[in-house]
Amino acid sequence: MKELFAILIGAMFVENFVLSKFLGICPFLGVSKKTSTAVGMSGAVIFVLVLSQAVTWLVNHYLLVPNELEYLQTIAFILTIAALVQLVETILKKMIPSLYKALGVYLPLITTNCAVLGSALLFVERQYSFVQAVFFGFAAGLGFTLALVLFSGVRERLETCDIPEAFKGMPITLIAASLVSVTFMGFASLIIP
Amino acid sequence: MYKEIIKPSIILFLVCAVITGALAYVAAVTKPIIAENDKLAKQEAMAEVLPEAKSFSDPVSFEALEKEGFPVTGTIKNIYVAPDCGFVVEVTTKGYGGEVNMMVGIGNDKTVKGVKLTSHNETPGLGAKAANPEFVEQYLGPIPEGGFVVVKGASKSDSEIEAVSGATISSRAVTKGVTEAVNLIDYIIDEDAAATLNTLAGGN
Amino acid sequence: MEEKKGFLSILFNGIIKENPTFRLLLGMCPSLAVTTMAKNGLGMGAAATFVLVGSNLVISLIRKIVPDKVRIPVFITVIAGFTTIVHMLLAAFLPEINKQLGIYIPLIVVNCIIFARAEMFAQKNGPISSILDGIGMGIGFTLAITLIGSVREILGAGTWMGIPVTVNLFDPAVLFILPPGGFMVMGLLVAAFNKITERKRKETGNEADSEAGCAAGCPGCSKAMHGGEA
Repeated sequence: MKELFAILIGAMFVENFVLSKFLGICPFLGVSKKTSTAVGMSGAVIFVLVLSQAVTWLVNHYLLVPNELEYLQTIAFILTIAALVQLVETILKKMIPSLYKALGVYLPLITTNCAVLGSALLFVERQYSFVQAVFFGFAAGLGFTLALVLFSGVRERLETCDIPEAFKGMPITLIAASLVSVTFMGFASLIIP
Repeated sequence: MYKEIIKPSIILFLVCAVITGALAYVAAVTKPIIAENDKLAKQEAMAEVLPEAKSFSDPVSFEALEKEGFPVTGTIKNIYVAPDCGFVVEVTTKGYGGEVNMMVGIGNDKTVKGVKLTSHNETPGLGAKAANPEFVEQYLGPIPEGGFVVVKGASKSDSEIEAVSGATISSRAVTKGVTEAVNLIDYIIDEDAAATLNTLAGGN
Repeated sequence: MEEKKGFLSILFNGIIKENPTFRLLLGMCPSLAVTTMAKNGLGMGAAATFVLVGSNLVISLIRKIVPDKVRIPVFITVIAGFTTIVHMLLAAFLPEINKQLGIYIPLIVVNCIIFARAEMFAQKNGPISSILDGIGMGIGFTLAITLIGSVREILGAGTWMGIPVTVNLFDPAVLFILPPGGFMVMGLLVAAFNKITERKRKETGNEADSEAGCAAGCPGCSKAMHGGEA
């Protein structure tokens, strides 16, 4: 239990995927213009992350490792994730149209989200158990949500600011992200020694 | 039917097969080189932390030590015996950016001969400074009574380790590793457990 | 992309006009994550260039026999294959760099630059043009992230490529090699790049692609990825 708690705090605050590990920067910058889209994207990411962690862990543990095929990890993981996203999209469309309506537009963007492949690679590196890996995915998703939603608030305010011409658009967004990232550094001392 | 399903499937299968074959070939070529690199790096690190040693035994793992009743925690990974000279302990602790792996060389006379961080993920310019010689040299010398303590600011005695400024967590991680290694060797020498260790190491 | 272009202009296209990092804002994750040192930027750039050239070449060669239906999985497989090869080669011959770059090497697979070039260029052009496009984009990416790495290393650690350069000038501000510094330097450099190209654009009177980057960057390439299947 204590270990899971450490994973939760670690993945959400101390090594927040977006703000300190730089995983999932593209959606972080791309869909954080409005809080509502940020929430939608985050929901889809948490959903896919948990699912993909479970499936990739099983693939790794029961297919790759016993056959000494670890060198196929990258290729197997990315294909699994791509197929999974496609599958989720199709199933949601047919079975739960209301959820598909909420998450659907964000799903295709997730395959290329480094956070998903990144967490799969990290559970291998850290030798997590199945439960830990899935929980890590969930916690990383929550961290992603936290960063995205917080930042969308910042960006909504940026809209009304008077910004120098060259800084308009991406540059000022990046600098705002830098300041949000500074605040997250304050969590560093939460690490359990 | 053919054009819709079979042909795409065959082509996808072929591409996967070719790529997998290429990967298998590269893996077969690089695997021994990678293993050799790791071995060399390890040997170099061991020679560096215990320069007087002429040879090292095979590693004795944490599991084997635990089974024989040595007082070890999970931080100790392996221990190598250098006949008539001392021991090298491989320790892993948790630092700021993840695992900190280090080698600690300790002589039979209970002096710390060398400490080397073999891999870590500490922040460059901050925690990473804990891998610098200036920092790890603080541990060298006879094992102090009561172990090492991390202090902020200048160190006043042998037992005090001056933390890298701004990186107390990394400094503590290294200190914890060295302390664990020292405690284990302390026990081995005091309890005359070296013979058991030698048997485990498959030595004479 | 259909019109015939000179080989040279294809090569230089990626370096300035469509610089993947500063103009197209693709591949942001590695641009920010590994650029704490100039050397890391160089290593990452070289690895990505290898994958880019390799996958561009292979995709261009097989573009006519791959049915549209399985295009995406085939591309992913090819890119992932080259990434794994580069990963193993680095582990074997440059273990130091490999250790420094960590999981960001396998993450080249999801680097949008590579997929975007496969989809937008290699799929429509011959092998020689595709190789040149890969080299050009690769150099553009390498230069950009080496620049980010240099700025961060000099300001944050006072060294460049590991050589001390600012000993007596100022005390390095560690913040720059920490995550916030990554965002900050990237923001300032994009702004500077905007400023320079903006002036050029005004001179030539071409105002077309000013906002293309931000919004169309990664989401754009993901959309392309799924466009054929939706």
